[in-house]
Amino acid sequence: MKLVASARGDTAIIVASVNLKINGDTATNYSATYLQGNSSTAASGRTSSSTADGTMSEDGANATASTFGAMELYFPNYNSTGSKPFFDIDITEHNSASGGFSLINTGSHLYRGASGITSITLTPSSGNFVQYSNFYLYGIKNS
Amino acid sequence: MATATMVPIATQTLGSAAASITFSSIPGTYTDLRLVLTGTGSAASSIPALRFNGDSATNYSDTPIEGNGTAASSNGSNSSNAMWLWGSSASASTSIPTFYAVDIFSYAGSTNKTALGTYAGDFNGSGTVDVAVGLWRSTAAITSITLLALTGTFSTGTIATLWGI
Repeated sequence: MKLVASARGDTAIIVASVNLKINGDTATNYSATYLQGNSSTAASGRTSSSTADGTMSEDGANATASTFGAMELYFPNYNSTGSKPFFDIDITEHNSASGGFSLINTGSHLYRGASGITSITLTPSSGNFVQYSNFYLYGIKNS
Repeated sequence: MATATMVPIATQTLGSAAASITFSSIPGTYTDLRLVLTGTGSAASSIPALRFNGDSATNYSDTPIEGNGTAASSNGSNSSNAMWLWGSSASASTSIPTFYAVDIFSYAGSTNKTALGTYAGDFNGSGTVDVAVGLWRSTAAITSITLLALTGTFSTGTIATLWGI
């Protein structure tokens, strides 16, 4: 399963976080290890035993106007009844003479829920997705 | 007329542990290939490497970038006997599945073959994320791909799928 999004939030920030929850699960079943480049340096960090996966990014209201972050997530074997790894890459390209930064971010994610994935919920860490944000979910068959 | 973008070529689900998984007789009728492996291993070092057409000569190189939760790093290998596509801290788990995906470009062409790999191995407090570019210095069309466990075996239930694009 593949999720592709083009998203921008209305909170006054350049790069905003996006939270992901699977099957409405709010237990501490999410973790991630991420790798980022911001046009200047590369860095890595992680989250563990979180109640949502908040390591994806979108453009915020202070990013260049009419610019949307791009996000791709890949969920292999999403019907598994064991822990489920997934992968994402997201970019928030920003151009501003007043500073700020663009971000390329990629992550290794783990959802330790024991049910197959039947729903995915994306929410901005604060505020709302703006108009013209779009989200596509694709199923991928192996036979 | 629209056609399917990703066409399944074959899937292998391990019924018992195996040190390698091979896709053979790959038709040359697609533009690119995508290979996805999800599963566990017998040891932390049971992470996958690739060989094409059974070539075990030193025709492979790769350059990964890796995040280990603390820092970003990059290294590389040249003249290797397999293509690794992950960084120095990448690892497998005996209990938590990892995700390994490789896009192989112009696999049926007559130039050297490039690949883009991703490895997702988060273990809730440890693990890495890896992205890498690889090169197989051969002008032969790819007709078989072997996934090798670096050491040990891929565990029962591990799933590998090859798509043509």
